[in-house]
Amino acid sequence: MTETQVTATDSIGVRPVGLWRRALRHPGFVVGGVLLLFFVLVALGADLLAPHDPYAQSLVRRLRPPVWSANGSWTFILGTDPFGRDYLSRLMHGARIALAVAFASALLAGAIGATLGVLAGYFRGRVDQVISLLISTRLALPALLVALAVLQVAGSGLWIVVLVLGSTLWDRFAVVMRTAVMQVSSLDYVMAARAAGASHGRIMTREVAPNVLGHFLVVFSYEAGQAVLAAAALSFLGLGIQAPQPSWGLMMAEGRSWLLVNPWLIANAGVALMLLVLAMNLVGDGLRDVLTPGERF
Amino acid sequence: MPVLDVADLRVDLRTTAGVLRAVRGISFSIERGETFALVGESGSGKSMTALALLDLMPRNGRRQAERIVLDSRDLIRLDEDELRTVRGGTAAMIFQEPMTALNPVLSIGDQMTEGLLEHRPGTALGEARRRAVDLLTRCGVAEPERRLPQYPHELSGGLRQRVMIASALMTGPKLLIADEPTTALDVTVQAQILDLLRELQRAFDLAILFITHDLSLVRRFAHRIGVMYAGEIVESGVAEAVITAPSHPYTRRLIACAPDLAAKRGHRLGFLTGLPPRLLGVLDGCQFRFRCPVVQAACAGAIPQQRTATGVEYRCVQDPQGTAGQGVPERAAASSPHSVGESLLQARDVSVSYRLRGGLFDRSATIQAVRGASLTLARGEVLGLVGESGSGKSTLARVILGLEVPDEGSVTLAGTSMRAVDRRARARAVQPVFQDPYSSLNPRHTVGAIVRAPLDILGLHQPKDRARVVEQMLDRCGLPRHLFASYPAQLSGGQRQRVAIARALVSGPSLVVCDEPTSALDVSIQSQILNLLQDLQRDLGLTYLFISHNLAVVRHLADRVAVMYRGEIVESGDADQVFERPEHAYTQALLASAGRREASG
Repeated sequence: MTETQVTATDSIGVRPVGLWRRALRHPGFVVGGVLLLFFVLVALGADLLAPHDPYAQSLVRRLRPPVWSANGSWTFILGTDPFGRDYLSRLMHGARIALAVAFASALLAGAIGATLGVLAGYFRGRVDQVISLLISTRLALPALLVALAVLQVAGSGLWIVVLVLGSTLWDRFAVVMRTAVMQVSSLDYVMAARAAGASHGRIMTREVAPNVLGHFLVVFSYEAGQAVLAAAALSFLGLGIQAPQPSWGLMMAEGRSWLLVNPWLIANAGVALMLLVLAMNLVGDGLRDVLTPGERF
Repeated sequence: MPVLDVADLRVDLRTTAGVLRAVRGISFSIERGETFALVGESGSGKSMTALALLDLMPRNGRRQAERIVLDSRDLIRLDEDELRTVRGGTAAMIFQEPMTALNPVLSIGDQMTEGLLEHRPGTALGEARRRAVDLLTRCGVAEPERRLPQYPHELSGGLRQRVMIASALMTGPKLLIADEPTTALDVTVQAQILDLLRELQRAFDLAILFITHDLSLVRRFAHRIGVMYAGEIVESGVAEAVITAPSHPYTRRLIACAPDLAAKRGHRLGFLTGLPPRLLGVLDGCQFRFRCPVVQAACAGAIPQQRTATGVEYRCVQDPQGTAGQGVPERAAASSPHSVGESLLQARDVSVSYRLRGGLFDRSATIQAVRGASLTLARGEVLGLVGESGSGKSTLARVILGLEVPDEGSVTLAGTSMRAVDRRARARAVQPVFQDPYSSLNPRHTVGAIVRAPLDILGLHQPKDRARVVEQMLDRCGLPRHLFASYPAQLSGGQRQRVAIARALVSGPSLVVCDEPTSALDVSIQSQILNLLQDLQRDLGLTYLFISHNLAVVRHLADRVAVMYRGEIVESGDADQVFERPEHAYTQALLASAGRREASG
C-alpha cells in the first residue's frame, strides 16, 4: 500500500517564513532567549559588573540582610553570606560556573550521543543493535549515583564535574539523533546521493547532518538545563565544585544551616538556578517549534 | 427531486498570504441512483467541495452557499447538532486511504456498529451486528462473521476499502461521498471496488458524489461529470459527451495530457504550460486564460455559461464549433524511432530477501522480495517494468542501481559485474529518478548545489566549468533560470522532478532507472515530464528502465515490457505483443482491470 498516488500540489509553495521571523513570533522562545542572554551577559561581564570581590571575607559584615528587608542596604544588595562575602557578586560569578558546566557538559554529551545516534541511525543493522544496547545500558544506570561514586573516588572540581556529566547525559542525544537520522536516511535524496557515488562520510555530513541539526539544538538546550541542575545537586552534596568557588549549589549548601533564620541565603541562589533552567527549557521548546514544525519528540 | 442540490457554493480559506478562494460559486445536483464525478487536478477545490457540503472544512475555512439541499433539508440552515445527524446518517463519506480512515485499535465489528448505535440510539447490538454481517456480505467480504473481531491491520488494502464502504452504508445513507476511493489501490483491486460501488448503487438507489483526479476512471463509472479548475466547474454534463467532445479548452487539454492505454507509443502527449493560479484576493474573468492556448481579450471579462447541443454546460467566451480542434496538440508528432544497440544491462536470476525485525535478541523473519528475476536491456531501449505494490519492482531497481546486493544472481552493466565495480564507476553508468519529488531533493541545498553534487563527487569536468555544465543541464530539463539558486521548498512538484532528472543526467549515465517518476504528479504535469523524458532519451541516446504501476504510461513510453508479480518476472517481451496478446494469466487480469476502468469505448 505504499504506492499512494497522492497528487502533489503543483502550485509554487508559499515561501517559508524566515526562521528568525518565526522565532520572534514565539513568545516562549523570546522570553527564554532574553533571560538566557541576560545570564550569559552577566556571566561574561561578572568581573566588571560585580559590585564586590566575591571572595573577600569580612567578619564584621557577616549575614547582612538583602536590600528589601528592614535593615538592608544598597551596598550589599542581596546581603552577605556567613563569611561576610557579597552575595550578589557571588551569584554573578556563580552564573559563570553554571553556564560553563552547562555548555561544556552538553557539548561533551552531545558529541558522544550524536556520534552514536548518527552511526546507529545511518548504518542500522549490527551497528544499531550494539549502540541500542549501549543506550539501554546507559539508561539502566542511576546516573546521579554513578556520578557521586566517580567524584568520590576521582576527587572533584569543575572539569571533573563536566567530564562526569558529559559522559552520563548523552542518552537523549543518542535516542533522538538515531530516530531522526533513520527518518532522513530513508528519504530518496539520500538514496540519490548513494547512487551518485557519494561516500558514507559525505552523505552523513552533507545530506543527513544539515537536516538533523535542528533536533540536536533542541536536545542540547534541554540537556544544558539538566546539566545545570545536576551540577548544582552534586555541589550541594559537597562532591561538585569546591569552596571557595561561588557555585550556586554550594551556596545553597552553605545556607542550609541558616534556613530558618535567613531563608534568602538559599532562596536567592535557588531562584537564579530555576530561572536559568527555565530559560534553557523555554529556548528548547521554542527551537523545537521553530526548527521542526509539526514534529514532537 | 434530486437527493443533493447545491447552488452557488463558495469556500474561502484564511491563510497567512490572504484569503484563498478555494471554491468559487459552484452549483450541481445529484439524483437518486446517479453518480456525479467532480474531476480536477490538485488544488482545483474538488475535495474542499466535498468537505464543505457537510461543514467539515479546516478551521480557517468559511463556506457560503445559496442552498445545499440534501434529502429536502437545507444544510446551510442546520445547527451543529442537526448536522451531526446528517453526517454518517443521510450522507456518508469514504476516503482515499483505507489504512488511516479505519481506527487501528477498534475491531471491525465495533467500528461498523458504532455509527449506527450513535445515530439510532434504540438499536440493539445484536441487530447492529446482523446488519454489519449483511453489508459485509453485500460488499463481497468472505466470511463476514470472522471479520468482525478482526483489526484493520489484519486486512489487505482492498478488503479494508470494502469494510469502509460497508460501514459507510450502515445507517442507510441517501448520499455517498467518495473522495478518491480507489487511488491508493492496485489496478486489479481498483476495478473490483468500482464494480462494487456500482452494484451497491443499484441495490440501495444511492446518489454518489465521486471525487477524483483520474479522468480515465470517470467515463465508465460516472453518469455525469463536472470538471473543476481553480475552484470553479468549468464544464459539466453527461460523462460520455464531455469526454468525447470536450468544449472547454481546459478539458480538451486535460484529456490530451492523459496517456491512453489503447494508443501505441511514439506520439507526444499534450501538455499544459504554466501553473494553476494562486486563488488569492479578487479574481475576475476566466482563471484558465493564463494557460489557455486560445485566449482572447474577452477572457478577462465576464464569462458566459454556454450550453451545447448535447446538454453540456461550459464557461467560456468561445463558441465550441469555432474553437474545436484548436488547442488540441498534434497527437502524432512522432519522435523518430530510436536505434537499439548492443546489450547494456543483464540481470540474471536476481533474488533478494529481507530480514524483518532483527534485534540483538529477537528471532527474525525473512521476506522474499525478488525471486530469480532476469532481464536484459539493450542500449537506447526503454524497458517498462510493470507490477503492483509489493511485487518487488522497486527492490529490483535498487539492485540494478547497485544500492542493494542481491542474495543470489548477478547484474552486469556494459560487460562489468556490478559486484566488481566501484561506486564511482557505477554512478557514472547508472542513475535513478525517484517517485516522490518532495523527498528526492535535500531541502537544505539549492537547486544548483543539488545538480552539481554528482560532478563534485565524481570529479567530472574542471571545477570552474561545473557551474556551466549544471546550467546547461537545467536548461535542457526546462527549469527556468531564476530558480537555479532556489531551495526545493520554493519549487512546484513538476519543477522538482525536473531538478531530479537534471541531477540524474548531469554525470552522463547511459542507463536511467525511473521508479514511478510521474505517479505523484498531476496529469498535466505528468505529461510534461513524460515528454521531457522522451526528448532526453532521443537526444542523449539514453536507456531507460521505466518502472510504473500505470499501464497507460508504460504503454506510452516503453519499447519492451516486463511484468512482475510476487517477486517474479512472469512475462516480458515487445510492448505491442504484451499489451495486445498477453500470455500470462496475471498480465491478462492486469490489462482487463485497466481496460475496464479505462475509456475503451
